[in-house]
Amino acid sequence: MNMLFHPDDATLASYAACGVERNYSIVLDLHIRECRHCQQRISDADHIGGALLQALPAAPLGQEQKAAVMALLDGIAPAPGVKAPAPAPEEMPKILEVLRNWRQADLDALPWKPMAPGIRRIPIEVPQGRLNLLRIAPGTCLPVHSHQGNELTMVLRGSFSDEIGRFTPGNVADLDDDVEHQPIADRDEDCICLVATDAPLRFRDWLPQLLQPLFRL
Amino acid sequence: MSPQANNERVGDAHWAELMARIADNRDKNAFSRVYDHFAPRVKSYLLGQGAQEALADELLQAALLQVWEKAGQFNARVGSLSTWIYRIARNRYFDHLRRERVRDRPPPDAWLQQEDEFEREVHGGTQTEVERERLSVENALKQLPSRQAQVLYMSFYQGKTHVEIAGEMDIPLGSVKSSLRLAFEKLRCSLGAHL
Repeated sequence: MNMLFHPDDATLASYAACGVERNYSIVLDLHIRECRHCQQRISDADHIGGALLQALPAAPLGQEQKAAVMALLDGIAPAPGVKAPAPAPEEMPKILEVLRNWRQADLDALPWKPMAPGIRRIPIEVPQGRLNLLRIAPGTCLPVHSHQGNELTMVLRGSFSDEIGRFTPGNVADLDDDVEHQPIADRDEDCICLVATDAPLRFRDWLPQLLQPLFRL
Repeated sequence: MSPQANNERVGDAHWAELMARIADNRDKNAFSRVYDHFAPRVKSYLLGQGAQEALADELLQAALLQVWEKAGQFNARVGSLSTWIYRIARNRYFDHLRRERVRDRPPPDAWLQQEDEFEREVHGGTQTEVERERLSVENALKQLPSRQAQVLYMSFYQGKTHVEIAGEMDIPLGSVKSSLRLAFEKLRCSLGAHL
């Protein structure tokens, strides 16, 4: 799958090092699974992690500890030389299961709740930060906003455009607090996207403040 | 490349040979050498992540036993042993945090670890190339400006998020991202071959 817009390299590096909160990694998983460019970045990050491990100072370890490990070796049968099959997917909330198969899933059947004219959403429970599915009617203009913190958006259906470009399904907008943008849903169909943020969005003028409940602020 | 048993900075070819001996012959002597080199570094990594001493010891034992058990899955053509062991240690630690419900930050999707073919295609490395890459990354690491090095360290070694790093270093989030982006870019370039 050819993607035009990827997560920032800094985001990918942190993802590889388990340094992103769950709301972001849910979005990232969906993109990276389809994107060889990003898979390569993750693989590179791991090679860098390996070089870093090599460069770490050795922590002192007792001989008795090594003896304990050596004593266990005989009890362990070698695993076959081929990689184990993928572990069974863990139990996850239904909505996350739907998202995992977002290209096939019936997104219309989800419990969309109206939030503002032209905008519906589904909040998704995550331990940290915020994660929302947004469904934006064709031609709807979201308020100009900047971010206190990060905002990571992946389009699942339709498309939106902003100052950066036109985002189609699978593409990701990775924004931080330096960026102010005004996304507009393209005219042909509803735009459905998955949006992770860690802090409330800041709107620039008073009118869009009415929309703040939209983002559960 | 001939094995240099007494030299701590033995080459990747040497590690590959030791791993093959573990896989093929269940060679404890070979495992003992891998343990001596990597166990103390894995422990450093775990302590850096914030694990208490006892937990670090427990996880490092599990990680090294996994090296013994799965030695046959190590493929020296796709990356160095240190990368393979880094992944094992990272996954062990973050899986532990998830199980204990301390922190929900799963390691990169399991599928990623299995894309053996993909990595082979991209890195296409002989052992010498793999080793050259690793040395070149280590070299690039030493040359990073201090802020980039610090952000990289906090990210890879302490598993901190951009927001946490920004708070601790008292710099804007955008600076964390740009420092990490630059550091990652430099190190990636030093990985070389496939770029």
